[in-house]
Parts: sequence; C-alpha cells; structure tokens
Amino acid sequence: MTLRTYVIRRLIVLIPTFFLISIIIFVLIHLAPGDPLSAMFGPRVIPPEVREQITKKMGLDKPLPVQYLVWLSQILRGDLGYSYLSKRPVIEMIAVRIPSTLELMLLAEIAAVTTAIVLGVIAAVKEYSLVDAACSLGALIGYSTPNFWMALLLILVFAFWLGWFPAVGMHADIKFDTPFEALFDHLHHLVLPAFVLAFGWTAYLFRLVRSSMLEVLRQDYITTARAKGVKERVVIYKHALRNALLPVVTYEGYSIGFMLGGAVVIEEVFNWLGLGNFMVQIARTRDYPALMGLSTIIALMVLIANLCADIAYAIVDPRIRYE
Amino acid sequence: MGGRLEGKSGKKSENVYKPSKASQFFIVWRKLRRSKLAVFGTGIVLFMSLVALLAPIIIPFSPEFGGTPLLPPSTAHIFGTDALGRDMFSLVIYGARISLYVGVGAVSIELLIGITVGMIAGYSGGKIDELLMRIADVIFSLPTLMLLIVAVSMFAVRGIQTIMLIMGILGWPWIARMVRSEFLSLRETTFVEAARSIGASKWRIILRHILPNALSTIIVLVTVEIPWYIFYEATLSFLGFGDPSSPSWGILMQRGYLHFSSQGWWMITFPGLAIFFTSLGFNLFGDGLRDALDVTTRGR
Amino acid sequence: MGEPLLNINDLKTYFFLAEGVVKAVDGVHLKINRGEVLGLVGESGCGKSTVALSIMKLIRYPGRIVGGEIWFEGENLLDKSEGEMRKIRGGKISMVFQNPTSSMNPVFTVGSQIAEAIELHQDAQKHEIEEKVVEILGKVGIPSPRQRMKDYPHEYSGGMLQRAMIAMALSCNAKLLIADEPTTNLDVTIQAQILELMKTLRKEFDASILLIGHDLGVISELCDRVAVMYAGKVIEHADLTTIFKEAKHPYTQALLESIPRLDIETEWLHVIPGTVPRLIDPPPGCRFHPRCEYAKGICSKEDPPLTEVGQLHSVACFLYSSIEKLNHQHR
Repeated sequence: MTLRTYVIRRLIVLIPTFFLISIIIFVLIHLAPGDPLSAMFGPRVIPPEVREQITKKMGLDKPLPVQYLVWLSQILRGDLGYSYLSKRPVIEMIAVRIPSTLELMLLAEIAAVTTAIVLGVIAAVKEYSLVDAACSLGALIGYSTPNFWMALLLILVFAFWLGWFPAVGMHADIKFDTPFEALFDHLHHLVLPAFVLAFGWTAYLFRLVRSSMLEVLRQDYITTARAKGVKERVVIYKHALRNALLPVVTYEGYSIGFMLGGAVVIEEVFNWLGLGNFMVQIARTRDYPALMGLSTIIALMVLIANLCADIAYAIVDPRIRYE
Repeated sequence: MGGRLEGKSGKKSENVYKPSKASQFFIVWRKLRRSKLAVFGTGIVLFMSLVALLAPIIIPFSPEFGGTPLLPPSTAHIFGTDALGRDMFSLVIYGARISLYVGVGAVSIELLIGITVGMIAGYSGGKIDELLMRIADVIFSLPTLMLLIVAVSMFAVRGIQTIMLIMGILGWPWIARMVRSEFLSLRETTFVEAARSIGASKWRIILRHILPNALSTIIVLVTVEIPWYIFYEATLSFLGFGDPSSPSWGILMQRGYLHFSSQGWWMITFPGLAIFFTSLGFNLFGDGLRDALDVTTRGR
Repeated sequence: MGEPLLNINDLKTYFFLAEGVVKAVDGVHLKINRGEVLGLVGESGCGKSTVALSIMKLIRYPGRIVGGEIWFEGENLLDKSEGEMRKIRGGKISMVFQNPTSSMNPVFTVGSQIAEAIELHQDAQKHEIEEKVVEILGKVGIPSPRQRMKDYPHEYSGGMLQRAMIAMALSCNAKLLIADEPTTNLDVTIQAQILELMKTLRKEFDASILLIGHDLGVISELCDRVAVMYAGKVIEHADLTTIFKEAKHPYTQALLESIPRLDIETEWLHVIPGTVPRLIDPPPGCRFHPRCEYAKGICSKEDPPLTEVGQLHSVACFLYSSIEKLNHQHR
C-alpha cells in the first residue's frame, strides 16, 4: 500500500483509541470513593440543600455512564470545562503552560537523541573496549537514578554551593534591558531541568542504539557490503546505521510518555510552570474537571506523537507498508 | 565402506539427556557468577532484602526517637537527624522495608493480572486478543506517572495498600504483552504441536509447556519492574500523594524537601541514595539474569 | 593454461576464542586456473566458508589469518593493505553468499546496491551506471530490469534475489567469483536455474569460479575440478570425473557412497560413523583417522601431506604415501 493509505488507516484507528482513552481517564478519576465536590468546598460547612443544588447543576447526581457521555460530548466540542478553584476555563490554563513544557521537552529530546546515537554507535563499533564499558555502565547508573533526587542534588551542588545556575524558576525576577538578555537568562534557567529530563532518556536510548547496532553489524548484508569493497566507515554509517536506527524511531514515539512523566516531577522541583507542574497542582487540590481536561490533552499529545513516530517509521522502513 | 545404520527395532533408545531442575539452576548460577557486575547486583538485592526483613532488629534508634533536630551527619547519627530529631539512618533502614514491600507487592499484583490477561489474549486470538492488546497499548503509551497521579489523587485518604493496588492494576500491560508474545511464538513451535498430537489438553499444554518457557522472560521482567515501582511510589510520595503514615524512602524525601536548602541536604540525599542503590542492584541483577538465562550461550 | 589465477599455499586461519584456538583452516592448498570452475566440497563446519572469507581477507576478530600465501594474479594477497584489498573486493574478486534474503540490505533498492558496486570499481557517470545496472540485471534473467531495479529486496523472490546478487558480483567483471553455497537455501527447481545461469555467465564473462558446497550433485553440474575438505584441510584434489570414478581418500569414497541413489535398491543408507572432530586443539595425526576403516598406526601420529597420485590428482592419506615419501617431502 502507499504511504498515503497507511497514514489514513492509522488516522482512522486513532478514533476508537481516543474513545478508549477517554473511558480510561474517566474510570481512573472516578475510582476514588467519595464525593468529588468535597475538594471544591474544602472544610467549610455547606448546608445540604445548597449542596444538592450544586450537585444537580453540575450533573453529578446522574449515573456514571451518563456523566461520561455528557463529558465526552463536551470534550468533542472542545469544551474542557472550568477549573473548580480558579474558575477559569481549563483550556486557557493549559494553553498558557504548553510552551514551557514543550521547550523543556524539545531541548531534552535533542540532547538525548544526539548523545545516545553518537555514544551508542561508538560503543557498538568498539564493543568490549573501555569506551563501551564506561558508557554502558554510565547508562545503567543513569537509568537507575531517580530523577527528582538527581534534580535536587544538582540544585544543591550547582545552584547552592557553586552558584553557577539558578535553583528554581523560569526566569529571574528582574527587568532586562534587552530581549537578548532576557532570552539568555531564560536559557540559563532551562539548563538544569532539561539536563535532568534528558539524562534518564539518554541512558535508556543509548542501550537501545547500542544493542540495535550490534545486532545489525552481525547481519549478512554487512558482510556483503564489505565484500563489495565498501569502506568500513561507509559500512557503519550508511549500511549499518540506517538499519540500526529503525527501532529507535519507534522508541522515540514512546519518549513523549517518558518525557511527560519526567516533566511532572522535574517541573515541580524547579518550579517550572508547565503542564507537569500544573498537573501536580490540580491533583493536590483535587480540581477534578481540570484534571480530566488536562489528562485528555496529554493523552491527545501522546496519541499524535505515536502516530508521527509510526508514520516516520513507515517512511524509513520500506518493508513495513507492504502488509 | 562406511558404516551401516543399525535398525532401532531391537535396540533400546538411547538415554535422553534431560537436565534436571537442579542442574538447570546450576548452569544459570554459573553463568551469573561470571559477570562481576551481576554478582555485585545480586549482592545488593540480597543485602537490601535482608535489611528490609531485619529492619526492626537492626536499627540503632527507634524511628520515634526524638533527639536533637536537624543535625548533620556525625558519628552518632551517620545520616543525621530530621526536623523532628529522628535518626535518619534508622529511618532509611525502616524505609527499606516499606519501599520494598510496595515494590514487590505491586509487581505481584501486576504479574497476576498481566499473566492472566496475556494468556487469554495469546490463546484466544482474534477479537478478544485485539481488544485486550489495544487497551494494553493505550495504557502503555500514556505516561504512567500521570495515570498514577490522576488515580491516586482523588482518594482523600490513601493507604499504602491502595497505592500498591493501583500501581499493580496500571502495570499489567507490560507483562501481558510479554506473556502474549511468548505464548504466540511458542504456540506454533513443534514441541507444542507434538504435545497436542498426543492428546494433551489445552490447560496441560499451557501449564507444562508454555509457561515454563515464558518463565525466564517473566523472571527477568519482574526483576526490572521492582525498582520501577519503588521509584513510582517514591515519586508519588515525594509529590505528596503518598501515605505519610508509612515512611517509605519517598516520604522521607518529601519531608526532607520541606527543609531543602544547604542546611538540610542529608535529609534528601540519603533516602535518595537508598533508592538509587536498590535500583542499581536490581538492574544489574536483572541484566545478569537475562544473560544467564539466555539458553543460546553455554555456561562454562 | 599458464599461471594459475589463484594459488593458495598452506593457508592457516585460526579463531582465538576463550575456550581455545579453533583451527578452522589448517594448511589448505588450492589452485584455480583461468576460466576454470573449482568445487570446494565438505561437511558443515569443515572450514570452506572460512577459506572463502580468507581469500577476501574478510576474517574479523576473533579470527585471524596466521599463515600461508594467497597468490592472485601474481601477487600475494596477504601482503596487501586494507585499501588495496578494498579495490580487489567486488572488483577483481567478488563473492555470492548462501542466503540471498539476508545478504541484501533491506532498506536500499536492489538497483542502488548494484550501482554502489559499480561506482566503487568503475569510472562511470550516473546515467552510465544506471544503464549498466539495467544491462546486468537483464543478463541474469530478471524481467523488466528497469522497473525492478527500483524495488527493494523483500519484493524479490529468493531465486530472483540470488540472481541479483550474482549480477552484483559480476557487475565489475570479476576475474574470480566465489560462490559460497549459492543454491543451498533455494528450491530444487530454482537451484537448477541458478546453476544454468552460472554456466552461461561463466562463458560470457570468462570468469573463474570457486564453488563451495556440500552437495556433490550441485558440484557435479558446474565444476571442472573438485577439492574435498575435511576438518580444516584439503584431503583430495582432482578433476570431476576422477573424483567420481577414482576417488582415493576414504572420506571422499564414503561421501560418494552416502549419496542416496534411485537406481540401486538398498535397505540401509550409508552413514559415516562418528562425528566431525572439534577444531579446538585437534588431536595429532590425520583428522579423519577415528572414523576411517583403513586407519593404521601412523595415521594417529602424523598428518598425511597432500601427495600426487595421478595426473592433477592429489590425496592426503597414508594409504598412498609412505613414511619415506613423508620424510622426502619434509626435506
């Protein structure tokens, strides 16, 4: 089938998947026993009639499946509801924060992918060498390190003790003379959180690149290439790498899940006002419409990212379309 | 010229070499011993398990001990004391018990659900398989931490058991996928066909042939999942979604975070170190185990 | 005839493993003349593929060529640098492998992979290269070559892909084509086609072929001469008819006897008792002696040298060379 057919097919599959996700989100939120409204009211004592009135108005007295359908129809119209606590539309609150998370993830992705591929290829080509052993061990250590612990340690060392980087926040609280200075300051704040976010993924991706490359270098077609008289460097970077990177493309699709998960706690530690930080905030206050709205948006982001990864894979691997 | 192949009619068939369970274990053990890192990892795992089990006996101070608050590490208090004067070292040791309990517990639940679902999917095939795998994919691709936060946060009161349960419930896709693919690949092998041809029933085939082969994959998976669950519980606790009455390492870090400055670094460093150390151990052990269980390499 | 095209003298290729040293090729002598097809026969694991890779100097860690000479067109390949070897590989000497589906890079089109070979060894412009690819694909019998060169390896059948591999190997007018079990993984009918193809191409390109295999039937279709290998050594060397009619080495005889025949009624299949020896630290003496009906005392002590027993017929066996001859040769 052509690429176009493949893309269309995948887009169509997106729809039932989205419905499935919406059910899962709804179920998870309503898993907890008790009244979702209690968060809204807090410790204040509310007379029962008022409570009943509000419950009816919000449609919370209807059976759950009905509530789900009501919510679903709202979502499909683009209405994500209003936050309990701030009374602002959820969409607005999310939109404001998306760029911050996006820039964090983008920087982390670029750093992680470049480092992992470069080191992975070197480690595979020089298998069993000191470089390989060092990188592999480093990757294992990186993989085992809890990200928030690393974040705190880095802040301790680089912000508190050495003072090289700011500890928290997205920018310093002062007025800058030029936009250039403001940008630089912002980037200065971006370094530590992006580093922590990238670290875990680099470790994970490195192992994949290395093992994929090793697998490919064992293949017959690599011997054929050498038997043709191809230069070893070309064998590695053209013949081998092209094949070794195929699984990497798929994994990059999963990276968004990893990154978003990491962003939650990293944004919290660095007080980086993005989606992750937002999620923690609304989860703490049990702002349940906001929680449902944010989950939906995040799920959508993941779905789209996975779709892009699938399409990218179909482009680079000629075998996959012919199913 | 050359030999003639004697007919087998009169002769007894040669002794089929069937490695006993004990000798299989030894081959794996020997291969595991080869890698120094794997041995190191195994050591850590055993050490941590021991610490967790013996916690109440080995702690130097009771976790309730109220001493001088906010003391940096010293000879009396190796890890310092926390805001309420409790000895950090004891707290970290006691935390091992809770963190490991959660890790192992969550993995057990995950295993139970995952293996069942995986087997159903693998054996039924068709629409059921597709549906289950679709659900698995969805859960799998969504950020686990977010799903956990969403699920756990809505509980007004959280017990450590609830957290464990939710983690296990959200974790089945991983295992289910593995089990299912093992199932599918083994289902079509000749030895299963042979078993079927002599009339073995469905369940017998599953239990005696397929599951033991899938076992090695599952074991490795479990080893690597435990540190992930310890990590997730720690993160949840750190963010405030944990169970404060069960002082896991994550809870300790949350408490420490409240005093996070250069004046209190030991309160977050040591619990975090414990998590790191345990994860490293399990990962090394898991890697080594995976290589050792690989039947394509001979042990020496 | 003149100088042989390829003359391998006492080649030794060992693999240095943790368990020990595997002497995969332990003193092999081979000669191929211009325009000749030499068959290299032996069981799996006897070292045939290692000989092929050694000629191309494609032996990688943990293996290494430790001794001997490989004379090609008057030069010792073992003296050549890697850069010089690269010019020879795919150009003067090229190779076809056993499994065509795994021997082609799945992410590049077949045409581009052939073009790569041409680019490396011939001075040609882009459009010229394209024409050459079409031409060579046509020569090996691929229909609609201009369309098919844009296809990927997985779109070819096994037989077609092997043809394409042969095309790639011959695209730069190689003098020596090494074919390592080219038909083993193919259907019998396709096998026949490929062998026919190789017969035709051999005449057209005036190439010598080293055909490696374990199937004597396949070998007999194409080869002028045959060398039989066992456990890392060549134990008999003769032309085709001689091998089939007057094989002298006990192993060769056993091999020939074990070919199932449809014209004679037999109850039992002939089997050579015992197994191929492990090539790690092999025992002294003739490698075949534990399985040999005619083994005598000296067979377990000394390694029989390759001795001439007739016109271009050599055997490595103490049935045909005595101690005197042995001492004489060691002089």
